[in-house]
Amino acid sequence: PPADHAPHSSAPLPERFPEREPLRSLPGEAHARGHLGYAPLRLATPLTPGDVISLHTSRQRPPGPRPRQGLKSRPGHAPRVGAPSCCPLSQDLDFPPCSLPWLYLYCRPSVPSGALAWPRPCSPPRPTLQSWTIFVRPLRTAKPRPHIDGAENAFKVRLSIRTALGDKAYAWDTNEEYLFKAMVAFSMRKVANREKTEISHVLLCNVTQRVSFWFVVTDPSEKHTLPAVEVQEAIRMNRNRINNAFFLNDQTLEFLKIPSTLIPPTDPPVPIWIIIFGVIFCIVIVAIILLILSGIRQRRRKDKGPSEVDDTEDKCENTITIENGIPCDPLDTKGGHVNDAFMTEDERLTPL
Amino acid sequence: MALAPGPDLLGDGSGDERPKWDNKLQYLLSCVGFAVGLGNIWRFPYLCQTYGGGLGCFTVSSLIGIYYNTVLTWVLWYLLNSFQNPLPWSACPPDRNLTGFVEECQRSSSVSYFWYRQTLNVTADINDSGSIQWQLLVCLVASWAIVYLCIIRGIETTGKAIYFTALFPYLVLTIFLIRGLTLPGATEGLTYLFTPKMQILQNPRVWLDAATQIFFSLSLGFGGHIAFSSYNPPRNNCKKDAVTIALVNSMTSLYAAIIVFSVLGFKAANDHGRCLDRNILSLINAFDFPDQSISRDDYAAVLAHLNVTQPERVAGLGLESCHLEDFLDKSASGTGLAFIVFTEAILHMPGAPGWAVLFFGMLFTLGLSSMFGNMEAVITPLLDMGVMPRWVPKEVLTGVACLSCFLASIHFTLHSGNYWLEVFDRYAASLNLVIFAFLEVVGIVYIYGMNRFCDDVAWMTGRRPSLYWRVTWKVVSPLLLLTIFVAYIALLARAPPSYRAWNPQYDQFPTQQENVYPGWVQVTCMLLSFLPVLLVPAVALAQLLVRHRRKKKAALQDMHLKPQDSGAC
Repeated sequence: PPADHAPHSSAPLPERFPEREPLRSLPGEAHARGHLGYAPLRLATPLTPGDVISLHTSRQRPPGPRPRQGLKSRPGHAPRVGAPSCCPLSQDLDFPPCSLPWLYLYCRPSVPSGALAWPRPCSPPRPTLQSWTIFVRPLRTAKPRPHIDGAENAFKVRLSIRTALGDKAYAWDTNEEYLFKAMVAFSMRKVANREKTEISHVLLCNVTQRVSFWFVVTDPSEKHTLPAVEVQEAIRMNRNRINNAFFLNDQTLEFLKIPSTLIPPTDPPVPIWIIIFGVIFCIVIVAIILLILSGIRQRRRKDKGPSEVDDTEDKCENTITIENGIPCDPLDTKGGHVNDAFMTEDERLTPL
Repeated sequence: MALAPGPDLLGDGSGDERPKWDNKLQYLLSCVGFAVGLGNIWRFPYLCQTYGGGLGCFTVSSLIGIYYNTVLTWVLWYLLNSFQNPLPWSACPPDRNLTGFVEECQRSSSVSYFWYRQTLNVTADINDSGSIQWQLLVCLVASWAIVYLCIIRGIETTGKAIYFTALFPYLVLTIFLIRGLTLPGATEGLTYLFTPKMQILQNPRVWLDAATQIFFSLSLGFGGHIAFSSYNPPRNNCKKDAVTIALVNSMTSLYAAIIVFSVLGFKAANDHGRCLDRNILSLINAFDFPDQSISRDDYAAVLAHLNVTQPERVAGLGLESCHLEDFLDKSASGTGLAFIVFTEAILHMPGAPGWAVLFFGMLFTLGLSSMFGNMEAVITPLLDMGVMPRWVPKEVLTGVACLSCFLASIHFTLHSGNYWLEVFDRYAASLNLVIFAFLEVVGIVYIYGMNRFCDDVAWMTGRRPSLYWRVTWKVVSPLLLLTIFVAYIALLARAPPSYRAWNPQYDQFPTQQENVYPGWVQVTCMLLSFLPVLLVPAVALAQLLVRHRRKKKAALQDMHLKPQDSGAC
């Protein structure tokens, strides 16, 4: 089949996928195209440090010519057969760091070291694994460095830039990595006895498209890595500065195995609910008191009421009402007369 | 002829005449407020979702008044805590060394933690009483003070307060309706509500639940309606009032169900989205895909692809299964709905503290208007029976009633208070009311006489009740009530009564542990269920004895009088 189309045995992946890579555009053209296959990679210019290319592959590798024309390997980067040049295969998904300075190819398993090549199985071959990304990174220095076993003193870092910043997300490139190394070195310099930590002592490894990578900090002799506890302590103290340098927070810039110090809850001296409770309670008590007082006043008025009516009637007693020019006899209500006509039989007789 | 004294209406102490409603609206609002309670908001929608007697009354009302106000206390506590941003139940508190969150909170959720730990501070067992929660005690004092303020002079003050407490909930419900319908996911919730599940409708339990719900929703059998109606003028179209109140109650339940379900649909959609996001994050982290490269819509396709190509790795990730139906099925009723589900839904709405204040304010006023009815059902019989001497003002009587209920309800502020509240809710308020309502109907229709009753109704309303009313009173209502009663007994007898305890030490935490009630609690349950009912025959017996003695006395007096009479003439 032609190089442009590869047989695919699985469901096609969403279109969007391939467009996400590359993290930065290559000089010259190309990025892998389409999920159905892979376009031949043609690079007009040689790769520069920090170029990162990702290719999307499908399960079956295409027979056919390896489209690697135009790519030049850098001098001195011949594949070293027999050297542990691949990232070792591991069962868990977080690959421990490779033997660092020797490695000039940070790779996924099943990709050989050396030039950017179409995925070829590393030994032992793992045909079930897919190669998602291939990164090329040239050696920093020409002289080979001793193998540093930093596996237990290395930490994995994971960034979620797009989650944090959305459209304003920046691309993760070597400059950002340099800043990261600077921040780590800065944090280490704040630890006692480590004031001489330089940026070059911080080593990054295994940068993936997720934007996750491993890092270690070596001592000035560059023979040993600093113990994990010190690095942990340093990062924890300066976590906030590191986060701010990247516009991220504890959730989007994760240091796995370094727990972040949570912000202690800022309790106001008096809890808010007590304040509001006090306000409502005072209003209720005042209202109750007012109602009780008004009730008492009403009752007092009612008790005084009949006696007041008597007074006014006494006052009226001496006034003579005139109606039609004829004076009427004022009602003598003070004493209370009993009108005999209305007396009942029963009241005359003494009750049983 | 002696002048007969004027018709002595059942006057209260100081000789003034019986209080009256200012206008009809006050009476209707009071009854509606009494009927429309917390149950309309949080019990009816739950049931939709799962398939779509005088001294006795007094006892029941006082029992209910005691524990109902505890719910108001909780609502008040949440209301007071809603005036801050961020809301206190939005995040778990960090643990002592500030490296993670409190373990109990992490395993359950911040909302459950706030409810069970920071509000109730609940123990794992009903036997374990614990001490009094001072913040709940303080809120209890406040809520009883508010209740006292509103009923201090009986319906005089209640009638004024009811304008606010009965109408405010409808205003808030409408605001929530507009907000709820505009939330994403609301349509799913509403479709779920209104889609009948035919096979569930065939389950008789559904119909039993429906009957009990409408019965309790109308707050029948408490004596509250009787108390309120006794303040009406004698010639009153009670038929129209009854129909109005029943209709308003049912409409409110439906209205509330629409709102609750749109909010629940929003919450389910939200939870579903977050479940997907968690899975997507696992995939991205495991396979090192670029950040944000899988959207929620693509997730299914990507997962399918990966399952085919690398099934072992995918299986090792431990992805959750996210189905919208599962989240919609997570129903809750009662305190669970208000304090856990709804509070969580509110967290995700923009402007959360404002919505929380509105929601809990609405619940508070709803409960308050139901409390008015309860307390009136307690105080009116006390006044009518003349328990206090005449010179004691009404304010003192209401104060004493409120104080005694408050002292009795302090028990619910203990650590195990929530379990006791469930006991009261399940046993004090269920069987008794059914029995009272049954006795009331049977007493009036069969003992007082249907004809006499129809004459009274004709005198009050101007028209005899139609055939529909007579058939329902004579046949349908007693039958339904009897069925509900029998079904309740059958359900109770089926299994020993148990309760759900919040136990962080339980291995399946956060699922609640099912415990059986200890013996003495079971005895309390029985007492609560049957004591008020037993008062009915007890009082009947007492009245029989009194009448018998009076007859004997009258007969003796007659015998003494006869010789005197013959002598006087």
